[in-house]
Amino acid sequence: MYLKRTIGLIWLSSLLLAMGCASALTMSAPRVEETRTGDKGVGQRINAVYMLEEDEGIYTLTRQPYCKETIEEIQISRKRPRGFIIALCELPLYGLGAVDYLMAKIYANASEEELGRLMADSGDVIPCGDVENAPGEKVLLQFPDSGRLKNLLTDENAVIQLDECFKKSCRDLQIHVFVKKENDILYISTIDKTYTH
Amino acid sequence: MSPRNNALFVLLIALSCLLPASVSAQGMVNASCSSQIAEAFGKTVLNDFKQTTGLNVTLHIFSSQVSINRLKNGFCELAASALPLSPEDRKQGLVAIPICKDPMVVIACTEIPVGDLSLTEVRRLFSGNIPNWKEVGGPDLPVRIITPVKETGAYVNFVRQAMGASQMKFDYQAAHSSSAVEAVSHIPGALSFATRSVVAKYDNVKIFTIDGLEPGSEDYPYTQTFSLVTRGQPSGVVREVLNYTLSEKARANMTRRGLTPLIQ
Repeated sequence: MYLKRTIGLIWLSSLLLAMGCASALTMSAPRVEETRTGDKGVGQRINAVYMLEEDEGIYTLTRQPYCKETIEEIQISRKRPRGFIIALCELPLYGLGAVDYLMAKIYANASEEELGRLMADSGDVIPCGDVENAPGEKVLLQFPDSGRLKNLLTDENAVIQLDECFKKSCRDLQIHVFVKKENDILYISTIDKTYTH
Repeated sequence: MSPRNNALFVLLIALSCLLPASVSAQGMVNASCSSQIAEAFGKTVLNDFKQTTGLNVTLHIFSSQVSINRLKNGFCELAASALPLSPEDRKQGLVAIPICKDPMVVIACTEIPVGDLSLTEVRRLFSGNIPNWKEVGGPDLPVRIITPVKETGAYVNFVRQAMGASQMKFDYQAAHSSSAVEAVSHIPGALSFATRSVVAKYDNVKIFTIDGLEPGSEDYPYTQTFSLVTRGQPSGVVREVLNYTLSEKARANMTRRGLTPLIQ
């Protein structure tokens, strides 16, 4: 009985001592610097994505510019809330632990100071313009059935003239379309007439 | 539903979860590749691809036919094959983009002093009608024919281009076309065929000219085309892999390894 009372007293005094500890620990904590991400934006243009559109047998090359996605990095200095476990111990005291930890959180949030902002690349690329026709582009056609290659330019309406390629005298039923950009070659599309010719 | 049916249903659900996902993660390409193409391009190409694009390729090496079958069955998103697609494959929506070509060379161990073979001699040698090297001006040594297994692109292409109506015979078969080259370098009197860029790594393997034509010359009779095969039109990360393969850097790498880029 005596031992039970002693334990009870120790427990109660510990709880009383712990009151407000989370708030006090947070207030005395050192400031730390953190980086927070802000709004996303459009950065430097890096390339264009080409597409081949077909309308009643007329193939038009279109392109859409793509840019680097930027993201705002906000440098902040703040205090971090502390004493979560102590606040948990305080909970049996009419829920005072919750109030204590809430106070610690409010204090930590209020301590936040902005040090500076800068724009950085997010690592993603995003479309940054409308889809437009691509006249005068160097197009490379590969005919896998015959092994032929054909170089041509898209006309002023960005149309690729393929009528000759699908003449009945030609045995090619499949064409791979590429665009030549500087020294690289980009795959655009495959036109397959195997089951429609 | 009876308890037995319940158990079966649970088992089916569990098995469906275990089925290989073709796309395991974003930015990751699961590819199946013919062993001779993997050897021809070398392992460094994967590291360079990762550095250039930031994407990962998980490569599984099989024969060309198995690679195409894996693609058809959804085990991978990309296959590299030395075989042309069958009409049935094309009907199923597979798209093959020929990337480069490489001559197929007839090879033997370096003990054979013969330098040139005629088309007829090649056919007769591989059909077992010339059993000893002395019949083509070589030493008195039995011809031991080593071929890769029939599913490989090298075997199919060589039989189609070199054998005509003759039947291919063999003393030993290698699981991969590149293993056949390794075997030739160790077995006296061995004769085989392989793609040139793989053979170039071996000092103790001899390459024959055919009717006086050097491999790679315009009229050389045996050649293979290496293609990238996709299910449907290449898109997403698979398209990135294709575009990397067509880049100037990758084409220069092909040329350095003795391959001839087809798109340039």
